[in-house]
Amino acid sequence: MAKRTQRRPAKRDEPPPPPPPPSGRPPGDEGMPPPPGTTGRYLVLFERGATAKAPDTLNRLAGLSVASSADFAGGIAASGDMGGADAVMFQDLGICVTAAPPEQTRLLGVAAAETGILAVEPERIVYVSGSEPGGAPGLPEMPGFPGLPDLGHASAGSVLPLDYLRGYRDAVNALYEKLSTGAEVADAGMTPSLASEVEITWGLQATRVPASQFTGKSIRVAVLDTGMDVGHPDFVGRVIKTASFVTGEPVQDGHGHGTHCIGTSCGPKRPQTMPRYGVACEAEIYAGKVLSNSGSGGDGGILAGIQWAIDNKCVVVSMSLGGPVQPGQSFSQVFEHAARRALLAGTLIIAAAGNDSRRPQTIRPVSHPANCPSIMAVAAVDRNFGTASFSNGGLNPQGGQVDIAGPGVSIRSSWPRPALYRAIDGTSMATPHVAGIAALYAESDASFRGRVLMSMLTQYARRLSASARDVGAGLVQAI
Amino acid sequence: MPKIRLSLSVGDEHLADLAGIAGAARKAGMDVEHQHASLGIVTGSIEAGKLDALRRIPGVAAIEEERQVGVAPPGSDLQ
Repeated sequence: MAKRTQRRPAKRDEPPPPPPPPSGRPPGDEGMPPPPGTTGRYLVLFERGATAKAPDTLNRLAGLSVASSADFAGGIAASGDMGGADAVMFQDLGICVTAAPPEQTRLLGVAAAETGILAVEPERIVYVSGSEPGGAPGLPEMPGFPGLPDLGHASAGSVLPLDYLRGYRDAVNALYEKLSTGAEVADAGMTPSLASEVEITWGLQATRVPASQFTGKSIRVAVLDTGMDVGHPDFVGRVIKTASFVTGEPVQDGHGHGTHCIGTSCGPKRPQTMPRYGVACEAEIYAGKVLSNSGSGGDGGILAGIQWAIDNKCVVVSMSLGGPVQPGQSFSQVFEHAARRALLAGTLIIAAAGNDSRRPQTIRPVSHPANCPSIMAVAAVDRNFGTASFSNGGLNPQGGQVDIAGPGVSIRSSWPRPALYRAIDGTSMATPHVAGIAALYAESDASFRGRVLMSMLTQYARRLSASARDVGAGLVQAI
Repeated sequence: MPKIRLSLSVGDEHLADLAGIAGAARKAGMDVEHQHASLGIVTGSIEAGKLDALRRIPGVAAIEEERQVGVAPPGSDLQ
């Protein structure tokens, strides 16, 4: 098979590549060995949509000749052979491996954003687990304790480096000190560091919404609830479609719950009164009234609302509603059918886990219909990332688990006129955080729909110290 | 006889024939209010004594009495 190696030199009518930028390395360091743990090669990551032009881009920016991974059916990583090319492009992965000298590769790192290059990083050396050099080779395992060295028949210092043992001793002592004095062991990366709420609510900060480049633009988000105050000043100029599935009641929110949930999922970037409280600030709002102004509704109205959302190609359906479920009780077959078929149509249903618990004494199971396997169940956490006292837990098998958590304590959002704003608690408030963030993911990639979208939300959730029973995969994070 | 409100879902293999199943449900005594084609679900009401006839319709996968769901009253701080 002919290799599709591209060896074109840089075009003659283009200026030669600029000289490499100054670096900390001394001149003539090309022969220096690569930093420890790296191979000396580099990985260049391209964004989706830029991979087809990647060989041209690499050639133009750094004069690299690029081969395709398709030419190396037997694999190239083991031998390091690139068939004479400077780099090999893995089209499916959007990654190029290059063996070009650092000063040449550096040209890619300073390239402009429109080249589609997301990152350039050194290729790392990886090992089969347990085979790292510098470990404790040759030691037999302790009987009954796989993975631990058997020190019973050897002088430890003769087979294990003393530095290693000293570090081990110090770590155990430090752990003992902390535990014996009652202090918590540091929980790196799992504790919040939130700024004040003057500009942005704590919930948006904790879910990293402000840093997202996405706004939910052109993504349709259905919120099935008590309706919406469609005249709320924070929503002037927004795309809002409404429908009421409550007999005799218009969509205008006579309760407040629906307006609050829509505010969290789809509120504006700059509300009339700060702080910002809304996630998908450019999403298209589909306000379906399935709960009456007194806050109640039946399965029939909810199913009609879900059908309406699918008919309108809503990517996300946010349902901050539910009915209590007993321990051991199964989920609804009808709602599971509906949710599964919605996923196939590209519509993800996200529902509140429920507020029936009174922790720590009482934990109640996830409510209907969030307990369906094909519906995402959302628990609530407070600003310390602890499980909210009222938040239901994943007690029942077969879909009764919590899938993910969102901010659900002291959540400020929109409220019908004349109040305009209000801070309240509930898994109802956590749910639209997840729904709004789902819209950001959906905007970022048109393939993030249905089950894929569900998987992205859980996969990128921030793991917490709280148990999976209570917070599922963890705290939802914006993309 | 009082009627109960219910929702009925059809099996995957009968999704294309939702209208036919809804027709059979009507004949069995169901007051069909909505047919949700994308969901494969029919909602409405029926006299409790006629539920068995509904269950015998080929293609019906599940029948459930309507549950009430809700949220706390507007004044509550826990929603």
